[in-house]
Amino acid sequence: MYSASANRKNPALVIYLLDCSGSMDTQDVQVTSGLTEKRIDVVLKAFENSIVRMIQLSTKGTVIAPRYRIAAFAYTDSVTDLFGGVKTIDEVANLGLPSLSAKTQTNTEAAFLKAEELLRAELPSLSDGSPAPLICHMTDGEVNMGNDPSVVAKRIMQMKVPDGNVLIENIFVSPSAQLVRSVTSEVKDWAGLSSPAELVNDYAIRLFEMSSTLPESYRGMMLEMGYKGLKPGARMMFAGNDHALIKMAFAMSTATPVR
Amino acid sequence: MFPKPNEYCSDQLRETPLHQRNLGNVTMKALYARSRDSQLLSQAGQDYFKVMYGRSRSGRPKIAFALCDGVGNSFMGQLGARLLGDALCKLLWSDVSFMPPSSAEKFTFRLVAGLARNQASMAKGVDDFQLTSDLPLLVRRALGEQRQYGSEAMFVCGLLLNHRWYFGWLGDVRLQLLDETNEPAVNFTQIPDTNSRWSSRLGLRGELRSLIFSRDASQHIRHILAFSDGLASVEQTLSQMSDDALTAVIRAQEQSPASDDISYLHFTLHNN
Repeated sequence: MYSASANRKNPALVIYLLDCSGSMDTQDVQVTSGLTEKRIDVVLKAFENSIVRMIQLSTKGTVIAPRYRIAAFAYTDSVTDLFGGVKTIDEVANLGLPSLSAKTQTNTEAAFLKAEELLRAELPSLSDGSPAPLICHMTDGEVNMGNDPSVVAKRIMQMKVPDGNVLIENIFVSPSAQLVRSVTSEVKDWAGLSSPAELVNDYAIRLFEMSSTLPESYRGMMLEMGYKGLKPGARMMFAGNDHALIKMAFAMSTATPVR
Repeated sequence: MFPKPNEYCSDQLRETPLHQRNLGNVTMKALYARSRDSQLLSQAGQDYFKVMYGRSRSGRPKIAFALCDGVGNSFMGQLGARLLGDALCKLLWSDVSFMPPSSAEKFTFRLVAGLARNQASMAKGVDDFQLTSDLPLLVRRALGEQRQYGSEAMFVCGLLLNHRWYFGWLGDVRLQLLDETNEPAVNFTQIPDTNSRWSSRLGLRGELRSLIFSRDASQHIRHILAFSDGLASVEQTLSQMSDDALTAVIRAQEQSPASDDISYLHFTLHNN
């Protein structure tokens, strides 16, 4: 399970769902001691880092092999397709990344419905050797429009390919002390979240319940990236407003084994 | 002054089918095939080998070789492989041959010291590599960050001098030493190590291993195989494979989207 490698014939499908509601303009992400940045700016940088890493993992010489296929949706009260459909990593490299601005409300269900629709269209055409698709969802707050997104998320987690069920990763960007019992000081050694008891926020707990268990192959890739603390069985869930934690969270979206 | 050697090296931009060359009392077979991805994208392969051959000052056959496998996620692995391969061959042909070491430990020391002396020039070779100006911004950034970590490669190298064999290796590149029946000639186990490699930024990472064989000990060695991990799947049967069978294996692997570059050297000693 979750051992299929991303390559030209079997590219990995990664879907980003990015909350761009008004609260993402809050400047409370700790970058260094005393220095904070806006949530949306930190998320954009982390998203760009993920794309750059995928380019590096796909490049031989200066040519990019289409090892990844990427879709990205920004959501507020509505959902915007940032790339105009699923694009290969070389196409994304040529397109460049869109700018994002924070505004209005949060309809997380709409974003997951969009992802579900895309997966239903994509899954029948994925080859048997394809890695399981991954959804990387980033939000900074509770839903204030639409219905409970976990209903859709749990449907998505039942969708599968021979490599395994579709994976969902959740990143909850908000002051760490309001989300977790124990705030980590060194993300490279962080063990990850393995139990809802480690969370103190009801919505964080709900996101935890709709986060996949981290596959061992992904944990191995994270180890190669220097994140040596993640324990087996940790969930693909991040909660906090530490810049390094957000960077780690987006790095996880690139952790599909490659060949 | 050393006699000027003949040189043969792989062309990283195209496939070289299995072929044979006469190096005096040593016959060499060589093969080079890029991964399917590299072929489709008209890109250089990340493997590289070089062989220098001729006569020593005493008139005896002399061969130096290096076979290198560039690390895929490093900056221009093909460049690192070539820089390292050229440096190793030159080191073996000149420095090591000038005062041949008497033990494997001394040979290791000479290789490590020699590579350290060449480190700055190899690093400069990577730093000076020019990226084309038409690359998209994201690609330029991706490669720029990769360059900071340097270009990396693994290797196996060898020197035949005055009937003695010297071998050194680092990483996941393979070496087999066989007798006249194509069975292992010596009690030698190589453990592939994917973590060890040479870096243009950091130098040697991991443990460089070596073996030397005196004239008496090397009498049993008839065949020397050096190959990259692109052939790892057939490693156990490679020594018994005919040329046609090996060619068929290469052709089949080239069709796989997950195929790796393949480089292969096979030295057969006559009248050792």
